[in-house]
Amino acid sequence: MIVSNSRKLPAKKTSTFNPSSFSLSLFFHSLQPSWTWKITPHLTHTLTFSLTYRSNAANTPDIFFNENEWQIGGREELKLKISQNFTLLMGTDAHEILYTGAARVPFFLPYPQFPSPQQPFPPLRDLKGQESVLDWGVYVEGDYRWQKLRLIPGLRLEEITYAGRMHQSLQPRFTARYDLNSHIALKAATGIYQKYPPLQNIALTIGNPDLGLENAWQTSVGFEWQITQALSLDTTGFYNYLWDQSSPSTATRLIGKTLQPLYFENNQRGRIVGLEVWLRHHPYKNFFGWIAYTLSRSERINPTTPTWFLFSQDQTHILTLIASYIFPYNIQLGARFRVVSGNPTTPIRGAVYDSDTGSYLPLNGAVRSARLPLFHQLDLRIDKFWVFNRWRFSLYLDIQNVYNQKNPEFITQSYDFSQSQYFTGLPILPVIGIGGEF
Amino acid sequence: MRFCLLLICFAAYSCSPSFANPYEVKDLRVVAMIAEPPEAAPGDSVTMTVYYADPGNSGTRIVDSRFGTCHNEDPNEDCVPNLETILSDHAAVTTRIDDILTDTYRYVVPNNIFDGASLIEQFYGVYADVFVHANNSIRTIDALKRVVVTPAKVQPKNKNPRLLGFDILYQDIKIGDETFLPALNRATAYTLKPRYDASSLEAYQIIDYNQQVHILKEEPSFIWSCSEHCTLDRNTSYNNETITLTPPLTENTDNALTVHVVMRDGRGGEAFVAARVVLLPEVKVSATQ
Repeated sequence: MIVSNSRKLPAKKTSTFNPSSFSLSLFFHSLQPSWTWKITPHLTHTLTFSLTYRSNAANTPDIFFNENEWQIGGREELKLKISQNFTLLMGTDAHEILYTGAARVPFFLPYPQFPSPQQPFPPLRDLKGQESVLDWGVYVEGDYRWQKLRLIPGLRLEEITYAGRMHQSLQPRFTARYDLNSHIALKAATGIYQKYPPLQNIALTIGNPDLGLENAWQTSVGFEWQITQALSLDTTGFYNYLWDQSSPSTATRLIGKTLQPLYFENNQRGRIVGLEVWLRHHPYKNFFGWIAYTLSRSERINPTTPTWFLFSQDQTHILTLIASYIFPYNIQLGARFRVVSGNPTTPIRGAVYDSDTGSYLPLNGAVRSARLPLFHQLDLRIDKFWVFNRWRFSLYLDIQNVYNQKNPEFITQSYDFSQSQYFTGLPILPVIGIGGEF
Repeated sequence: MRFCLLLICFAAYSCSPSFANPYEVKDLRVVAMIAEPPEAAPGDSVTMTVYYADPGNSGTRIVDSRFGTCHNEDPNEDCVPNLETILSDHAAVTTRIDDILTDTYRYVVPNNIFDGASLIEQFYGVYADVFVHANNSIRTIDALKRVVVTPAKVQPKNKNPRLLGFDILYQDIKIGDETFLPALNRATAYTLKPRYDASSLEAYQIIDYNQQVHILKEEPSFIWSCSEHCTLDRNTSYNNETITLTPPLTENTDNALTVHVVMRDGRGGEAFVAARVVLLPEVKVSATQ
């Protein structure tokens, strides 16, 4: 039996990993013009175009990771009011996503040979890849009203092509709403959602192009309460079940007479349960704001793990307070305050010196059984608007992390895991910007 | 774009860990753990030698060490030292040369080590993890060495490389080696160069992921460390690369430091050399009135 990897590994560069300097950058640009044409009183046509560019990069003097994604798409939708009680919505949309990724990371791909040669530090390898996704779908949605009851069944058919393979998807959805009185409405929704796996799990040298779609069944129940003309309360309990989620794998598969590492498999399941409470003050007398709170628990399980463990970004409590007031002379002052549970971490209870490599192996505690400290941050923003006939110009000062809170993002460890330190997020960051709305 | 640059600057600014240097030995540490031979067959006897550095131990402190093993572990899981798997037949008495303590243990590879192993493992081999659990009454440490166990028919088996020592150079001129080192100036950069028997690096055959058979030769790597307050420009070197040692200007009151170097062949083979370096006394200048 021979182990094979059809994608040839690039030449290695031997260097040591130096975590002392680290930088991160995130870019996001989006353009989304929309045109609505009311053809008849009963028929409305909407055309939406979207163009998005996203870029993420992380760099140290020796290693880096960067990825760029262009997404171009369009949606055409027809809304036909068939009767007083029934409206039909039909549409089609298409998106083309172009992804490129490159990385130089310490990575040791073990040879099939035993014993697998080892080095004190894994050699740096250049990984790169590109992938395109064509996502085309049609959908239909009925909106039926009968007295206080509103039922919205829907169905989406989708064809998603990536890594040269076409994947079909059928996603039924259903929403119901019942008005108890003029102030309170009950609501419930359920549906199947499918999406393509993260493209870096497919595209890079150590990705798996045969990954299938990731699935989720989402369901929610709740109520909306219009307390006053300006104040409303929206409460939703939700439960999501995920399956076929892609996750790293050490499995191999036999192709002919060769054994090929998979790197990633659709072998992870997940469950998320929670409650959202949203108290909103709608724009009224120059003020708007809200208090949003989410209580949730997100867990995952793999075939290799005996029990459910917390998702890496599980956040038990998320509290967001937003307030904004428009003063005379078109001056607007806004504030945002966030309190979020720290992400789960796996505690390290010691280390073993590995004499084969001259490095230390951590002795991990229970998977994700500890957490980073609480995240909290206050942001302030002041805008000045100049309103013209057809457009609006604005100048703003945005101050992120006003009281310079050092929020831990992750933990860095010393060579023998005897010392640790938090890697903290951005310090106070004032940004001056301009904007235009047409 | 400007915003992004700001992000990069601030993120870089916000992260500057100040951890201990991996090369600076401040307390009890396993600096090497050598299996002789590194590759064996079931039933073979393997001598495990552990080298500890125990700074501040003038000979009165005992290092208590015990050995344990893990067999047929999941290849994706490392052997975790566990008091329940510590072998009861060995409580070591260490021997001491300068500040290096050594301890040996005779490990016999079980004849049934391939029981329960997969077909691939029975064909290629398995690791027998041997670990040591040591305590000097101040600190407890664990170290792990994997003995490569291949079927008896697999020949030749890997051997340990031969590390002869290291040369010390000042301004590219050799001034000594591990057997004879002159007293070194403080706060002065010296170059260390490993000396090894190149013929002890073996050739071996490997099949890569493209089904190509390659004849490779072991590439030596060296991990360097030294006693407290010394400075090395890095702790890892490859082949004939050199490293730079700078003795401390003031701190060492005993006017000496120890340099350790471990050579690895990348396939489990290992060799170790340590040498004590005498430093010239610290010159103290005092102002007179």
